[in-house]
Amino acid sequence: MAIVEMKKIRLFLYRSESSKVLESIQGIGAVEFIAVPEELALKKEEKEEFEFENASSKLDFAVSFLSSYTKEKASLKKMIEGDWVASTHKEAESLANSFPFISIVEEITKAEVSINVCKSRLKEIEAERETIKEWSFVSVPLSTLKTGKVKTFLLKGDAQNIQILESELKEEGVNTATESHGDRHHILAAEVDDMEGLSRRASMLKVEVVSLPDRDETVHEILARLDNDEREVNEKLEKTIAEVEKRAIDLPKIKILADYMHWKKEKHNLYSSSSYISRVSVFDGWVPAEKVKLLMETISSHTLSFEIEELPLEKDETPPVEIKNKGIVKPFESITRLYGLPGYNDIDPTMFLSAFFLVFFGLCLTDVGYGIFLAVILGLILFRYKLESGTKLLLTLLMFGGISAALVGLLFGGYLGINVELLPEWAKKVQKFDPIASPIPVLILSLVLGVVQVMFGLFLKILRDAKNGEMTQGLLDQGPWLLTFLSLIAWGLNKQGMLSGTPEYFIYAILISAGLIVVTQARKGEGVFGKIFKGVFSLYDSVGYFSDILSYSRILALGLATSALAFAVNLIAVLVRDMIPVIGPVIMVIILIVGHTFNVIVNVLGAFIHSARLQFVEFFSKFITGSGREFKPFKRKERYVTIER
Amino acid sequence: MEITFGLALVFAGAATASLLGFIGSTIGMGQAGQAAAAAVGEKPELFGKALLLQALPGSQGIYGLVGAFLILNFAGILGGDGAAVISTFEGLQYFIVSLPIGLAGLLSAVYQGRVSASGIVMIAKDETLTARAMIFSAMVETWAIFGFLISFILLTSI
Repeated sequence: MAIVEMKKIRLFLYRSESSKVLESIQGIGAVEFIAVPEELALKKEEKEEFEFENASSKLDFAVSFLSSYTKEKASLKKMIEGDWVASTHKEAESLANSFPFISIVEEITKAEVSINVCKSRLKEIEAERETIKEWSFVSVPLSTLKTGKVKTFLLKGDAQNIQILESELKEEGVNTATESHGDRHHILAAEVDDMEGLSRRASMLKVEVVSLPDRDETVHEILARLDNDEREVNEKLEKTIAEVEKRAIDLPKIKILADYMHWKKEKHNLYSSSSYISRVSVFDGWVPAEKVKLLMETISSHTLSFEIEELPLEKDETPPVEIKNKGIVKPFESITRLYGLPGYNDIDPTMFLSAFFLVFFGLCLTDVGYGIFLAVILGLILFRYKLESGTKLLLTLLMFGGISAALVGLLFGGYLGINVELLPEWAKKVQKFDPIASPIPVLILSLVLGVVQVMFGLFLKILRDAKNGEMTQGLLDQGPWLLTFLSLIAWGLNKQGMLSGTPEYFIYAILISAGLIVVTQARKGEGVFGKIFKGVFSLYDSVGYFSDILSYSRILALGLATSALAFAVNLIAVLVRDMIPVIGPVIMVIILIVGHTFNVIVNVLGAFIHSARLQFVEFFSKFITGSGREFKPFKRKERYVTIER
Repeated sequence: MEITFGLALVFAGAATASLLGFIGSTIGMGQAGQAAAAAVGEKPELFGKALLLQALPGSQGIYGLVGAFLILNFAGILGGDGAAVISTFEGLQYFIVSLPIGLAGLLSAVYQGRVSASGIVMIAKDETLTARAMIFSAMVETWAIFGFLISFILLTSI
């Protein structure tokens, strides 16, 4: 409901007991530890390596390695819930004592090395085979090619260039003989000693002198040996992979241990960099005020010798921010967090934006069918699956949005783009707006919502200032603007004949409130001219308010886009049914399903983003001044595991 | 259906509204797609989020499509009895209707594509910023929405 009050505390513990106590503090996740100021000139614990450092990083490696070898099929449940392992701290603790994870992790590391060796050997074999295959017609052992007086060269190049090479050699009195196999492969036998010279000469003619490994085997024999090697390596690889896949059954346990060791490591790092004086460790940190009691209880269940002292805030120091909301407002925290948390001295906007967001979302989607579809699908997912808390909140929010869209759809006659004329009598009765035939009333409705939200934002700014003991400033800054808005509204109503009274009086009210703006803002200027300038110039803010309010017209446009697109889908479907004989109706149904699904997805995305944007840009800017640093308590981080309490 | 110059102008309007939007979305999604491909090459797990950001500059194409449908529908060509008679002056009005949505859609989609591309670079650095990257991109879309709105209001006033 609000921004959580934070206390800055200093905790004293016996050094011998602090590691154990820190572990239990980690369990409740209520404290964010910060560095103890250096002025206190405390000693620092010597930073020592965590004994399971190696095991911890190897466990992380094992998780990612085994995850790619699990044989479990990707189920719908997994896709929705994510690959979490549910566990308890107790289970993790007993696993760490009973499960031989060190040897298993070693085994996995070895398997990984072996798999990599096998894979690179397979690549080598493939490469060797590629180079040698094309010379399979050479029937003598390769090592005999270069022995004796007559040497045999394997040449690759155009036949005519080979002829040139041969004739050049002949001119020099060298005896040669050639044999061609196909257009590119040639064998040249020549009585030469200078082999390099020949290669050079050949390369000038774009002929490559191929040198094959100097083995006592023929090409055929080498190929057979490579095949054999390949078979062996493949067998070994398959065996290793099968072992790893068998090991993957232990993946959940290894995940639990990986997290457990990570918690241990974080606790160790915190302790091993902490400060102390003689036998006492000193820790500074932030605690939500409501959790101080829980913290004391937790510590006292381990030791009675401790002390917690509340520290005053230093100048310009602001506590970290955490927001807390209950019940149906809670899901709207997703919107606030999307923007980033408000400053510590601000008001938590969650509760105030919730109603606006719901209405805007509904107006942007404006369809009974789509709304019900969204609400039912998300409702089923939420009911059926266990979700991570952030996702759960977001989906709940969208489910509410679906309900809102269905209700707005009733008022606007939005039924999957079907013409209301074709609907039963009751549907026509509940319909109050027809955005396609007469969009102007809906435009006015959108702008009115804008005026309401902008004014509400100004009002919240007064509340915010009051919370910080600056109520007078708040009233002076926002009050005249609120008055201006009110008198403008009254004038408008009077013009429309909805409010009786002499028109001049309303004009006077507007002028007086505008005058008040000038007078109150003038206090911020320096000197007479400065004051006049500041005061008059502040009227320029009205341009900002004007454009803010106009921005709400997007509500009409997005709602229109949904109904128009739904209408277009139906139109195309009907056209197709009439155009294509026999299977026309089938294709019509397919177009309807695909088209409407697409429309829901696109417009839910649009409705969400733009409803959120109206909160961030038009609403928050009126009363949120700072941006808060999120409260990040020291806790058991859930990376692979969800802890059940 | 009697083919008149007015009718041809209505067709030109529908074609303009949709084509400009399509061109804009093509350029925008293309640009965002290049950034997405680069980011996903480094971090394959970003595929879903990058795809979402790439999809954002696609709305202008959709608005154009909807605009074209509405123009044809209001002129009585689609869904009507097919006996629409449209004067040259009326046809010109239908053509003008296509301009706000078409031009605003074209330009905003191109620039939204650029913001989306930068947003994809942003989430490649820090995945938790996806929602904010989407908001940045959606800010540009505002002008396409207003273009659509004005076109629609013009259409209803013919």
